[in-house]
Amino acid sequence: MLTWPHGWQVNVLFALRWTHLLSGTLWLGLVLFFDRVWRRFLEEADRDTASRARRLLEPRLLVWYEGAGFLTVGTGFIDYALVLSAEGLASRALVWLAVWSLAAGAVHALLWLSARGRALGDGRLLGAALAAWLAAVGASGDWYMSRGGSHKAVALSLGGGFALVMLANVWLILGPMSRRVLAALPAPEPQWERAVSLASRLNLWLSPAVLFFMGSASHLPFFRTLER
Amino acid sequence: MLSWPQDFTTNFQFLLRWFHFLAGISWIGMLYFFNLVNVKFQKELDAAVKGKVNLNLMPKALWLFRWGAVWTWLTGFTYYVLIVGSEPTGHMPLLTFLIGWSIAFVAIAGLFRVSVGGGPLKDGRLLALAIIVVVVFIGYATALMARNAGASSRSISIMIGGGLGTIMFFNVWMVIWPLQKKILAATKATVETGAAAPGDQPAWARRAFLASRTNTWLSVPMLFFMGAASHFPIFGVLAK
Repeated sequence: MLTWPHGWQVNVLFALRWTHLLSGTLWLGLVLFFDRVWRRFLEEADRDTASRARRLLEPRLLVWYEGAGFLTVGTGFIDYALVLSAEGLASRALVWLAVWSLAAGAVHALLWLSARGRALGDGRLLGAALAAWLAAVGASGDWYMSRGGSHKAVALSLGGGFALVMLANVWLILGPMSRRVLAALPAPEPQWERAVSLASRLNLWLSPAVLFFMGSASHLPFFRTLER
Repeated sequence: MLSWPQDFTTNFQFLLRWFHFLAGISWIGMLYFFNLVNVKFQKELDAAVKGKVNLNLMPKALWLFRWGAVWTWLTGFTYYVLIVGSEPTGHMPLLTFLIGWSIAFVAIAGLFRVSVGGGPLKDGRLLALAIIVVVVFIGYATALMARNAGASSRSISIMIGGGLGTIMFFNVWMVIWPLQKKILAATKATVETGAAAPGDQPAWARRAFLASRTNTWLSVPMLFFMGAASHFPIFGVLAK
């Protein structure tokens, strides 16, 4: 009954995709847990209970959050590089990485300005600024990848780009700041807590967008290819 | 630079798929939290704060868990109905699917009860083996019937992945959630009035744990078949 596909590329690609699905489910599941369950739990719990629960649960939670993020983006990037090279656009994988790393750096700066109360202290203003910035980077990414790139190449560049911003949030803000908070319990600096909560909320908002572009890459072709 | 597909079906099916992803992450994400983080956390948490922590933490996580399961199953089943309806089999495989995997769930839920009662199945490894036998048997039998009726590789793959998801869905609503409700009610009584924990509580917790751990393991092949449906045609050429 089985007709297993031959050829190592097909098998390796699917093994990558399977790993990507598993670790991605874990990652985005923990993004949701961290924001909608854990942060709300901490708000409602009394100080002593919150501190005790935090010291036990958070170190383990953070390792899975960071590790799953790395594995998801890593497998995704390999797959994306293979998609691009099949279209004769391999060098664009590096351009993509450079552009979205810069975009993530700018997001990082905005989050810090807001957490320290220097600018955009109001969460709604920060949200609007981040949305405008990410939409601008996304639109230029579409313009760049559409020249010669298929719908798939464009959709993955956006979904993967937002995911890279999420990964940077975890590794540079949410993880390190949470550990700093843990070490300083029961009286951490409010700005560290604020940075964690902003990074967590941004990741929560980005995940539906990531999933939309990831799913559309294979199942809803809406980007048009332009002349190179 | 957009050229959006104009037909209703494509857009509707993609909407279903997107909700399926979102709800699926809510469901399986909480499942992974329970198994990878929470089990050890509960063991280390001291008794003085355990009740207070769980009455605050668990209802929030269990809400995303069980309603995620409902939306994942409903969107997935609707999608499967659309796929099967477009194939030469007609809707017959739906019946095979529902009956076959309901039998698998009843058998597995029975195994949990036997295991908690004692005997050789108390050993987790033997229990796992028995569950694997049930799943492989039902998976093979339903796939064979669907193939003989002319189902495509895609629809057979969804049938198996969705079948594993169906066992998991029943485990959530007929095993884990009813037991967790009892456990939370007992915890509340203990915290508020100092009442002693009911004698059955360890058995409830054990059975809920077995269902939860089973779901975690089943999610791995489940995601394999879900992804394989569109991207890895293993049941290809031999389909009639």
